Amino acid sequence: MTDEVHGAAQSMSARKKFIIGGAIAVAVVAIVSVIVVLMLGRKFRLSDGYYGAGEFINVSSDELRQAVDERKSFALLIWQPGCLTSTDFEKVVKSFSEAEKVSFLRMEFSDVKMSGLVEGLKYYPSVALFRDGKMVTFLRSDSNDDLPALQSVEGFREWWEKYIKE
Amino acid sequence: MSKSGRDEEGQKPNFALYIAITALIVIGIGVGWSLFNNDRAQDESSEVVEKTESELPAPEKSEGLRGEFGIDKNINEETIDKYLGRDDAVYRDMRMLKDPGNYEAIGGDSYLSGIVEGFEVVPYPYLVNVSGLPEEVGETYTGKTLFTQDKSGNLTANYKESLQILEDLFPKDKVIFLMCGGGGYAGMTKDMLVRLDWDENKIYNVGGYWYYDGENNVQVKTTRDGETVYDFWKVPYHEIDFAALHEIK
Repeated sequence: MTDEVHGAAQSMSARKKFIIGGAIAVAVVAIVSVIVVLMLGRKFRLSDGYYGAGEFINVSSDELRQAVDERKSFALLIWQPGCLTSTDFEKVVKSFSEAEKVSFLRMEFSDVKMSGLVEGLKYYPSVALFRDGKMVTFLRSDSNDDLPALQSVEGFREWWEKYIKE
Repeated sequence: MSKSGRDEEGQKPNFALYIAITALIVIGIGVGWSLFNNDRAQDESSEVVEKTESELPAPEKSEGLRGEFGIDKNINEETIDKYLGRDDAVYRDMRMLKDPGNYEAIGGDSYLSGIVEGFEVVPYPYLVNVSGLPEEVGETYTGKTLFTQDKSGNLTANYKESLQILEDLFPKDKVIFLMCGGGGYAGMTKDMLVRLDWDENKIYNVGGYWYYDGENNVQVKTTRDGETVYDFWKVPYHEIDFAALHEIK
């Protein structure tokens, strides 16, 4: 009998430990997740060199890689020269760039795709945002959610302001 | 004759028997091989028939900006390889071999650099006047066109043969697959044909060569002896000789 009581007491204690341990683990995971989401969601500023002029800066793969290696924060316009599917969006970004005096790096779609620096990119036109050398997000030409940003300056501004501090 | 194949004299092997057995085996293998190949040829031919007759999904626009240009959700750059070589279809690439616009001024290339095998080039700027290109490009093709489109989208034939030429290049009784660099010219071609009473359910905007990563790429732009060259002789091309047509005044 004493052995049975002792055994039962031990298994309850083990169960309790398990429950407490599990609760702590869940709490830690939840806290870390909240911190990560908050940090990722935090707006950021572009690196200083991209404010003031409001122009397009054509870059090669090497120059883009250099900006990434130097952990710069920048916006990359991905286009295809002369292609009608790219032209209207270029006008949107140009208007925004001139109004906000923000410069964009600009690179041809085929070169961007080969560089592998915008993971998941399938179509042009697009703008990809990089923070401290890491790609944060990009506009998708096959997404209804991104259509307003690809079609008008106001739509683009609304998307831009989700990520970039004024 | 004994079981071992030796003749009744007992000592010498019966070569005639061995030769006969060998010959039978060889003949048997030959007949079997012939029958096998015949069956495989029949299977392949029935597969080809099956491929050309398989049903196509109805045209359906992609989501997002691609959908705005009419690029198809189901038959596009990623899937077109499955639909090549059909007897009931024509395949048209709407780009120019060389665009007169100065695309190099904006970091581009005025030349057609590649094509999907099976597609034939019919330059869209020869069909109808084009506008909306970047200013830095300067003047693109501004020469003769089969049709003129006004700001309302109405199309007027410039030549007596204009509609006939379109009907020859884009037969109404066939499925029409259209492609270009990014899907823009292809979409405009579909719009134009539908305006002229083509069946929109038989025309697919397959999208852009720039996104094509399939098995049927024909590379036109290449490097030889350190020089960039364009092998246009690889590109099936439909010339429109405007000098031979009768202008509608």
